[in-house]
Parts: sequence; structure tokens; C-alpha cells
Amino acid sequence: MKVTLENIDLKYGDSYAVRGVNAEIEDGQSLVLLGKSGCGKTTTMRCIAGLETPARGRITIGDQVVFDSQKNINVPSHKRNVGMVFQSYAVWPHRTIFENVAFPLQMKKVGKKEITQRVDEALVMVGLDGFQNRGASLLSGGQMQRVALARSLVMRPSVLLLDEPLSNLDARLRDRLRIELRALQQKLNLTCVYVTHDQGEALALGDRIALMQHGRLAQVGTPNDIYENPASATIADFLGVSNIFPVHKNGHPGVYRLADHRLELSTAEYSLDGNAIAACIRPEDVIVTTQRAAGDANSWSGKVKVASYQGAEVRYLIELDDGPSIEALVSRRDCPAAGTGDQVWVNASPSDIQILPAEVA
Amino acid sequence: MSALTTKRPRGTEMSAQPAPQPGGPAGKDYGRHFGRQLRKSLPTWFMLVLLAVLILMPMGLILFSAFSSSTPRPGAIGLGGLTLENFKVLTSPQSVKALGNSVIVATASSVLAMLIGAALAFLAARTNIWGKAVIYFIGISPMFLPSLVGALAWSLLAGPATGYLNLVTRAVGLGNLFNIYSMPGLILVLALYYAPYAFLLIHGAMTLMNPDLEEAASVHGGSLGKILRTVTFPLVTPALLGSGVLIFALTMENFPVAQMIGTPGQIETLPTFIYRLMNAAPARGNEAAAVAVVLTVLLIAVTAFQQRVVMKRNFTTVSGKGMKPRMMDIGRLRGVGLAFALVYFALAIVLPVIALLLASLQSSPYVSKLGELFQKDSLSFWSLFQTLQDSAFLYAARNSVLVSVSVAVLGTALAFYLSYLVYRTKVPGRKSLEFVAMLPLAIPAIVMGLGLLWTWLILPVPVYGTILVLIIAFIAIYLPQGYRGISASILQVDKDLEDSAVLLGSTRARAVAYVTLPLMKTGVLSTILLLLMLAMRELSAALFLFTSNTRLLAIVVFDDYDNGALRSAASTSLLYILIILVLVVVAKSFGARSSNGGK
Repeated sequence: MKVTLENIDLKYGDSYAVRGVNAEIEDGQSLVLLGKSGCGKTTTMRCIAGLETPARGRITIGDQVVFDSQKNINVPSHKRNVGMVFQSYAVWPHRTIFENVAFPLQMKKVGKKEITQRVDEALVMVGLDGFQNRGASLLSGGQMQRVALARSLVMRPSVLLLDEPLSNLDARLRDRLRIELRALQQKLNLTCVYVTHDQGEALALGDRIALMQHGRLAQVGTPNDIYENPASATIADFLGVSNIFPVHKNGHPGVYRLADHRLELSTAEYSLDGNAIAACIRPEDVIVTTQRAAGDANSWSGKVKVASYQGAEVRYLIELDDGPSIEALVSRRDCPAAGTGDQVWVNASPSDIQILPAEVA
Repeated sequence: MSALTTKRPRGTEMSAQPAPQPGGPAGKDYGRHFGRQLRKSLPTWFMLVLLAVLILMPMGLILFSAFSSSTPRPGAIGLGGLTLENFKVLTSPQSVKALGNSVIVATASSVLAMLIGAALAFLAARTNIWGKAVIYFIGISPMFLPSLVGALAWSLLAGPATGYLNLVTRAVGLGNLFNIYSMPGLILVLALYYAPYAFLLIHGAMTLMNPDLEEAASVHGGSLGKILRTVTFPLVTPALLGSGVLIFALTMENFPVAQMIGTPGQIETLPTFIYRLMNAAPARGNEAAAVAVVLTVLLIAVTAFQQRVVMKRNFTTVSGKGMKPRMMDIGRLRGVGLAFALVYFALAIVLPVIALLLASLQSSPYVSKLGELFQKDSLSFWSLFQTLQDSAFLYAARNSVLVSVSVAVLGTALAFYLSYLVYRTKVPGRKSLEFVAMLPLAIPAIVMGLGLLWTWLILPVPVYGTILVLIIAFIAIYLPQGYRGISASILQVDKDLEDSAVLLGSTRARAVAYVTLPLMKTGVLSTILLLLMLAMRELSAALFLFTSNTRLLAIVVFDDYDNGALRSAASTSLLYILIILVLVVVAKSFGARSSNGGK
């Protein structure tokens, strides 16, 4: 069901944990709350669940207003029909898997036969069929996550909340479950809210991403939007853009000078001016060659400080002559034959350099 | 349980308010805000009233009496006779002496108890000594012997003329060597029965120590002795200091040993001084209160220091990750260590139990020569059987069991409710609740008993003189222990586990019953067991509260001793220990069964 958050404020003592958050999640869509720890993303999610009480604002799930500070409405958690997969999974270790998954149906006073049938269905859906009578304390992390998911799915929630659902799993399992989760969400047409600090996870799971900073929504958009056009340098940094250099405007349109070094950048035309601006270059857009490429606007010489082989790619850290260190991510195929200490040329196309404000205004 | 839920009925807001100002939205907002605040803080207020009656009121009355010319009586409590007269008693030579004795006895006995406890803990936790399980058992076994019984046994063993040890030394021609009614005697008995506290705390710290820290020292070239000095002992320093201060406070406020060992030897301490003032005719309650205030202030200072030390414990690199601490090879010292443990066991348990047995079996009340004990018919079970059939004993045993079981169950329930409020809710004022609940730690049991006496005398409910007042008193003084046990356990259960049940459609109360409580089972059971033991042993808090109808086993032993009926005191003591053991075994097997039944 559609979920709406309007002007949510939440305070811990005197400081705001969440401030003026507005968000809409369309029926069957997924929204990812992305941000560093302490940015208010989990708190925002817990407000939807009713585990935190905002100081101000309104939350609607479907047609039901579940929280409204003005009208003094606060539907208790157990009446909101919200499913939630906790970061710790919160699978009850003293119960069997069946008992865990059947619990929400028992609370709804569903008949015994139907409970068995629906629990079985849910377990099939998450790939745990046949585990019904296992004790939940003997499960692996991945299995626990599936139990937690089944337990929430079985109640046919109006909205499913997932708090860092993949962070406790090892890297390979994480990649697989990421795809499974996305497929399940789309198949069941579930309205989902994810919380994560991992940008890769956010890009893969969300129909839309809401980037949070200091309790506020800094940028909301589709994964593509956010990745291609971050609203600020700190957001770009968070999304994995590792080359961020403070710059000043040079006077000529499309030319910026590095604040800390005697280097100039040719860029597309930006109207941005002032002190708090930065040039952002994705490491995968940096081209490394052993010979100088002719005619390029941004071409600098430098020395390889670190070359780190990562399988499909090689990551370089190159110290530019008279300039900063710059990171480059080069595909295995295009990799120049250069190791630590070698002299190389670094190029970046003007269209790949973004000039952004340091922070969202 | 309804106070536990965060349920908020819709639409009842406005009607629940006393006077919502009509008109302006600002006024309406204020009213609503006020109503919400009030409802939110309701559980806190309820608990605060409970704690006020349990803890704050007794303390207040002590303080009040210390500055008043009359003690609280029903309908006679006013601010009329405020005076500083009562504190004159503090300048008397007796009270200066009592204060000095208290400090000396507490210091010396806690140092001795620490040495014993630390040595045993080190042997049991970290060395390759033979029979570690036995050493562990020796370390904790004196816990099952109330210090009251230990004191009685030692006065039987080493009383100046008729003590059994003196009979032995006289028989071999050495004369009377022992006099327990002396400063060293008092210190020894206290140290023997408080060493287990040091043992438990230090043993815990030593087993949880990360072996990497010592291995690192070893890799970097430290010898065994050097490692012990520079790594091991510094790491357990917080536990050492913490238990040292705890034992200092406990021995300082100990009444039974001071009364039974110290008083015959004319060594008065602050607790016995309070008791004597209260038992004077007419009772000098106001002066007793003045002394109580001084003793309490001393203990608050000491406990505050201990709390700070315990807080520091969090910074030590002790973690519970199921790792095995390194066992040190102490070579030939193993024999010395074992001998040390056995000597302690003999002094704390074996000799006292033999003394109690002899005293309850001997048919003539006085034995002046060792040989008399071995004459025909000199020993019989008559007295023990007599005690077993004695209605006063049976009545007291019933009372003791009733009181301690009630205290264990109700005290644990109260501690759970309190811990839940503090750690699982955001009710305003929860930190102050915690503070009040921990206060009895710093209040001597005898003082608390005095305060509770006055509290229930003036409260218009017919509780004074019933067994209920004893239950209330014991719950009050052991609330800190119960609260700590339950809090540690509630903190180990992830809050998400309970929240998820609520999200899946259960009420808060049901989620607690379905998830939180079952997961806390071990912690809850061990807290019940702890309170059961403590309540079973308690004497001091009951001293001013019992009546002839509500005598406990501890009271019977104490009275018999006071009246010189040593044989009866000894037989009651033996049966008393037996009942404690049975209760512990029953409670433990009950706990084991129910945790196996869970799955």
C-alpha cells in the first residue's frame, strides 16, 4: 500500500534525530533510505513501524492515518500490519521455525489449517521448505534472514520494512540475496522500505533512493538519477566518487582551478561559484596511459603510488606532478603496463568532471 | 501489565484532562501535551510511590528521628521537637570507640577476606592445581552458612574456657590457647564468611580474561612472574578493588557476628551500638537514629567509591567470548595451594559444623574436659529430635521458608518491572528510579529495619506485626541485588526480538510473555535463587520487625544464643543449614527441569 510521511520531526532530548522528512512510497514500489550511521534513516523507518514516536508530523499507510501529531493519532505497532526484518533478524531462538513464522497468523486468530498452509507457502517462497520443525537457534545467518523474511511475508503486510537486511551476511551470499530480494519484491508487488548504508545495495534494491544526512532528506530520486547527478560533493563521496577536489572558479567559463594545487580543470559550463565547491571525478572515468594522449584538455603526468589488482579491475593511486593524488579504476583489459613507481599519464574528459556544491544548501 | 504497553487509546485524550482551556490552538496543544506527558509518566509515578514507601520513607524517618526529640508513632509525627541533642551521643567515649572498632574490624577483615578469596580464585581459575572443581566448591561453600551460624559455631569452638579447641589444647597440656571473643577473633570470623564474595567476583574476572593479552606479554619476552605482576593482576584490579570495597561495606554493617563474637569480648561496633540503644529501657530511638545516620553516611561514601570502581570495570579488556584462559604451571606450589584451600575449608565449614554437631549432641550443657565428651551416654540425638518436634522451631522454619520464597518471587517480579521500565521504555524519570532502587546498597540492614519499623508503625495499614512486614523489609533491602541480576539478563536479550513480536501483531504484554521472559529464564531463575538464599540468611533487618508470632529461624538461633541456650541454638542452626541446602537443591533442580522442558 502507498505510504506517506509528512513533515516528520523526532527529537532525542534537544537534538533532532529526524527533521522535516517528507516522503512518498507508491504502492508496490521500494524506497531505500541511504545514509551514514546516525543520519536518522533507521529512526525514520522505526517511525513507520510505530517503534518511535515522532514529535511532529503525519504518517499514512494506505487510507489509514497511523500517526498524526495534530489529531493525536498514534496507532500502536501491533495494529499497523507492518512487517519488519530487523538488522539482527530477531528470530526467536527458543522457538522452532514453524512457531516463528506462524506467530503473526496466530495473533490474527487465523484457523489452524490455514496457518499450516500459509506458513508452508511462505517457507517455500524463501526457500526454507522442510525446515519447519528446526529450532531457530541452529540456523546460519542467511537462513535466519529468510525466516525473518517469511515471518513478515506471511502476515501479508501493508508495507515491509527491512533494516540493513544484508549487512550481517558474507559478501557472496549478499550478492545473491540482493537479487532474490528484488525479485521477490517485484513478484509480490510489495511496498518496501529498506535502510542501508551500502550504496551498492541501495542502487540494486530501490525503485527510488532517499539519501539522508543529519536527519534530513538530502536528495531523493531513482538510482540512476542519484548516481549520475549527485546533489553535492558529500553525496558523491558517499556514492563512491573518490576523487573530490575543492576548486575555485578561474574566470573563463568551464575552467576551474584546484584550491590546494596549481592545476586547472576544463569542465562543461557550470554557473557555480564561491568557496564551497568541489570537482568530482569518478575513478572509473579516469584514463591511465603510459604515453601522452594528444589533444586532450585534461591531461596530467604523475607517478603510480599504489597499484592494487582486484580481479576484474585494477585500482591505481597516482600522485600527479604538482598536484593531488588521484584514484583510477581501470578495467583489466585496458590496464596499462605500469607498476608502482612508474611514470604515467592521467586523462579525464571535461564531460566526466562534475562541479558540485560541497553540501546541499 | 497494562502499564507496560505503549497502547494509547484514541479519542480519549480530551476527556481525560482536568481543564482543557477553550479556544486558542495553543491552549489546546498545551492541554494535549500535558495529558500525554501525564500518561507517559504514569508507570514511573506508580513505581516511584512504591519505592518511596519501600525505601525513601524509612530513610526519611531515620533522618527525621535523628533530629527529633521523639520517635515516630501513629499520629505523633510533627516538626515540633527539632533538636540536635541526639547527636551528643556521638561525642560519648562509647560511640567514638564503636566507630573506631567498626573501621578497624571492617578494614582488617576485608583485607583478610580479599587475600583468601583472591588466592582461591587464582588457584581455581588460572592454575594447574589438582581438583579445580573442589577448589571452586570450597570457594563458594561458606555462602550457604549464614554468618550468624558461623559466629555461633566459632564461639562454641574457641570460647575462652569451654570452647572445643581449648578443651583439646588443655587436654594436651597447653592450656587455653584461643579466645574468639577478641579483636582478632572477630576479624577472623568475618573474613572467613565474607571471603566467598571476593572469590566469586575475582574468579569471574579471571576466567573472562582474554588470554591473548597474557600471550602477547609472553611472546614479547615476559616471564611468568613478570606477566602476573604486569598483566594479570593489573587487569583484575577493578574486580579486586570492587570486591574489597563491597566486603568493607558488608563487614562494616554486619550485626550478627559483631553481636555474638564482639559483644562478649566488650568490642562494640556501630551496628551493635544501635541495637543496644534500641534495646535500652526506655528505648533511645532518637539517639539510635543519630548513630544510624552516621553509619549510613559512611557506607554511602564507601559505596559511591565502589560504584565508581565498578564503572571502570567496563574499560578493562575483559570479554566473554567463550575463550579458554591460559592455565599456569605453578609446579610444586600446587601442594601449598591445595593445603591452603583445605585449611580454609576446615576453618570455615568443617570445624564449625563439627562444633555445632557436638554442641547439639552433648547431653550435659557444660563440658569442661575433652574426656567428658567420650564418656558413655555423653552424646545423644535427643536434643536434635527435641528441636525437630518443637513447635516454635517448626513455626519459625515455616515462617522462614514462607518469607524467603515470597521475597524471591515478589522481589524478582518487582526487579523485572523496574528493569523493564529503565531499559525497555522511555518513560521520563527512569534514571531516578534506578538510583532509588540502588540506594539500599548503601543502607545498613539494621538501619533499614529500624526505618521500616517506624514506617509501618505510622502507616494506617495493619501490616506491622505480620509476616508481611518482614517480606516487605527483605524485598526492600535486597532490591539492588534483584535489580542487578534482572538488568544484566534483560540487557542480554535484544530488544528487537520483542519489538518484532509487536510488529507481527501481538500486544506488548504478550510479546514480553512470549519472547522476553522465556529468553531471560536463566537470569530470572538465578535471581530468584539469589534472593531466596539472601532472605533465608537475613537477621539484621528482621531484628526490630519480628514479633513472637513471626519469628524466623535466624531469630530463633539469635535468641537462643542470647539466652545462653547454646544446645538449642546449635541444633536449630544445623537444621537451618539443612533447610537452606534443601531449598537451594530444590530451586536448582526445578530450574534445570524447566529449562530442559523449554526445548
